Amino acid sequence: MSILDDIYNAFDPSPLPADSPLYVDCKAVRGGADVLVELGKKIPRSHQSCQLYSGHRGGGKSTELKRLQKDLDQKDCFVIYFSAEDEDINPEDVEYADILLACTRHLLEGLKAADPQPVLSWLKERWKTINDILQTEISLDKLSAEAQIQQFAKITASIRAQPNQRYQIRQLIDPHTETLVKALNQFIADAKTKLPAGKTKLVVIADGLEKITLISRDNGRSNHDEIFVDRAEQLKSLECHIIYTVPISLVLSNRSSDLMEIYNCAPHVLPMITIRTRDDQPYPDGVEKLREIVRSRLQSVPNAEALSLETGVFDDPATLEQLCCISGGHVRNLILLMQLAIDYNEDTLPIRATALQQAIRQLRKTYRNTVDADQWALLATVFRTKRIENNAQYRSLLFTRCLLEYYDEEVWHDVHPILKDVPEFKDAVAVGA
Amino acid sequence: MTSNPVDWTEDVAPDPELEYRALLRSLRRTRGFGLFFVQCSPAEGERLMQKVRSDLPQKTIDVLKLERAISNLYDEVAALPNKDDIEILFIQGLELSLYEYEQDKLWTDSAERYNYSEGSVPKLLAHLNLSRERFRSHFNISFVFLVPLFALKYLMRRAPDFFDWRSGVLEFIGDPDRVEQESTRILLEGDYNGYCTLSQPERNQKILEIQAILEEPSQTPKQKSQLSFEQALLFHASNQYEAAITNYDQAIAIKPDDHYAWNNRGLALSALGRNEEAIASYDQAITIKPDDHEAWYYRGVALSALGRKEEAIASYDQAIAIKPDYHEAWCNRGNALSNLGRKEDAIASYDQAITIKPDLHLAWYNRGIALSNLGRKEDAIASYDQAITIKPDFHLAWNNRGIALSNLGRNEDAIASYDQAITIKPDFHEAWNNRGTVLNDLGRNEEAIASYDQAIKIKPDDPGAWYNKACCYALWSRVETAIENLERAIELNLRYREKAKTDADFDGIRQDERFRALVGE
Repeated sequence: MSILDDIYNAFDPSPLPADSPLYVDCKAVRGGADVLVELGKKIPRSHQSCQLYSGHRGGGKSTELKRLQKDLDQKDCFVIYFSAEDEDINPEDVEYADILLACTRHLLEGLKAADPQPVLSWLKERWKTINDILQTEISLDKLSAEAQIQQFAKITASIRAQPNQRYQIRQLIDPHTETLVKALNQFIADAKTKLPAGKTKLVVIADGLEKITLISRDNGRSNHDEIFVDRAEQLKSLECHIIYTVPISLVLSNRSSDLMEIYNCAPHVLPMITIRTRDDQPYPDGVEKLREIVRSRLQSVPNAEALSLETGVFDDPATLEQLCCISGGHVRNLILLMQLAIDYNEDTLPIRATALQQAIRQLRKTYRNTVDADQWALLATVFRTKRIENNAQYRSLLFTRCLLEYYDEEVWHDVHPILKDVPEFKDAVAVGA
Repeated sequence: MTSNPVDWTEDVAPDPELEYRALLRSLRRTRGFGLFFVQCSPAEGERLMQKVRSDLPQKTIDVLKLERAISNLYDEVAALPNKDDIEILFIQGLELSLYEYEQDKLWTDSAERYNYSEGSVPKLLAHLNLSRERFRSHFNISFVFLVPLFALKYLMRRAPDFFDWRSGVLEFIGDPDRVEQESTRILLEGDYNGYCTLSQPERNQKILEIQAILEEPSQTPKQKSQLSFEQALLFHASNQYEAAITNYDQAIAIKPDDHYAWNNRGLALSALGRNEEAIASYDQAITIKPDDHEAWYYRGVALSALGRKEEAIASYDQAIAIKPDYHEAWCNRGNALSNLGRKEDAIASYDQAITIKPDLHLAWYNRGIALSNLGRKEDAIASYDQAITIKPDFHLAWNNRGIALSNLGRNEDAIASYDQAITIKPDFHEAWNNRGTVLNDLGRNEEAIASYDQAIKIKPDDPGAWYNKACCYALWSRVETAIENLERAIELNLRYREKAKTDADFDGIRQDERFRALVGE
């Protein structure tokens, strides 16, 4: 195995666990955004809270949430973290009831000490009909509480399976969500009294909900609106502290003020690491932070820690600088570009500018492919104004990360630097100038 | 180390060899889970897999070839018996799932395809988007998805979170020679009649193949035009005329003087009932190639469909002038003439068709109708006989022959002829009805009623059969039943009230109050 192989594997695109030595604190260059403070501060002050967290995919949300989990764990909080996957929800048409059921399942599984009876009674009252829908003949009475809890998993599983069953189960559950919430809250109340020693607060972190694929309705709204705006009352009614991740396109939109009003707080967005300022000047602190991310990953590789980053690992300081700048301050893009550059490089260090050029070409092509012909003009406008309008076109560009969100004293937006040298973009800028 | 300053604003060119080596390095290096996307044509994909196998002998490599649309890839992988040993898994055929989702709504051509609707999402992609963690934690496999560009774009846009965990998107553009070879193969293999014999999935597969090779950057305009035309033929053979027209248009955009494309475009428009546009398209073909006899002929068919019979005849005449033995044109010219009441001329035209092609049963049949219209029943019967000799199960000819025979008073023969028609096509209600009438004339009332009943059973809203039944009962003096049947016929078509007023069959019951009330006297 060559040292490049080890370096390659140190650049893994998935979220970091809490306490990872690879973690680099970027608060200062993300406009001060710190999840421990922003989301964390509300929890000690109240009995119940519901907060939204968002950011570009691959920007570090899950990494930050895992840090938050760890931090809260060390305080007086009992934290249930789960990342919604297609085991929990049907990706095609998620409804809030699915999210509620997913929370219920994870709460039941995570709080084994508490008395599940309120929730099980709720289930029992509907059991016959559910049995009919699922076409099973399981008697709940004969099941242990543990097994009864598993039945919840079965319901959630059916919701993602057959469209028919899904519809019927929702028909059944929808009118009873209030009673389910009530039962769940009884369960939570009991659970709170039985938390491990030293724990007084119960926190649920529901990650992954932003991955629900956006589906636009004919009326200009989207499934995201239906879930997070229309059903906010239910989503925030659990009597514990809960954090949901939401798509960034929802937060940006004109729903933003709705969201703030409904959830009683502004959704927290994890901004990109600033690499250029709003007035288009280089921002060395941000670039240095990205270098640090590269450095920390390299230091995890035996035999690599002694190498000079600027001249040993890369052929030239400018190559490293370019790597950092072209990522747009987006961590997963940085990681990907690094992996690609290693692949395009010869099998020995240093990583050469020519390899990075190929890596950039590849990533640029992917981004370019996501832009429709009529969107270049919009990108050029944002490049000039650093602001976005509240409409679906901009939302979609934010969703595809062709537009990135930054924060200094307030939110601003810019075009992903990888697109800035694309001919269509240059033309659009020239036309608008 | 000296290095020349790099111009980072300049994009470098992709290099197939470099691309391949990068993929190989990634695959060699990746420990455990990894996602790779390779944009390539199916043929290019096969070559790539072979090469990787020989270049990475130390890796356990397998292929998951998806043969149909799926909605859950995780389960497919989990079901692989050797999933714990596989290190590199190539996945082919992902596009089939997208393609099933698109059906005929999005994929008529690539430009249209890229208007990805946000209104819904292919099941498979929604599943993938929420499943990346599961793939990662359960499979220690480097997944290499071999996809055409359109599938890649879909993945980027509609499964962005899954796609975002990739370790690379590599692009294997076929080298120009191979693209050329592959394109030529597709073009040589294809022809419209052959496409018609394929099943729809087989045709879809061909369409995909063409779409993949159309996207190759080294594709020449000439081949693009030919491949678009070929794609159009496939849609045409699938009765997807709109899509066919879009692709004919694309072929024409590159090669405006392609009279075949103009001609076929006209046919597709005609199939959609858009005859005016079809005629304009045939006109283009004719402008390019004035002696395009097919264009003149189909132009005639379109004009005829619009009722413009004189113009149709002129168009057929042109076709015939170019190709005197064009029997289809002679036959259709006969039809147009017949429609204008020029029966003698029509017969002469049919005769031409038959002289050229004696076994043209439709010409014999239509000739029979024209003769019959001229009152030449014996000749008509002889003409029908010819049609039947050529095509013994030609039920329409048997039926018309029956009518001509009964007109000559040869009722028994007529019944036998209707019986033949009915044996061939038991639900031929007109023949049942005609048969009833002859039986009625022969005074075989019960048989007549049974025959009408058959007609009614097949087509309960056929007023003629109800009316004939009413006549039959009236002659039989079964007043009540006659009136009931007449009532039904009038209900279905008011015309029968007028008819009944003067029809001698009802003379026997004409004074009946109920009859008078029914016909409004």
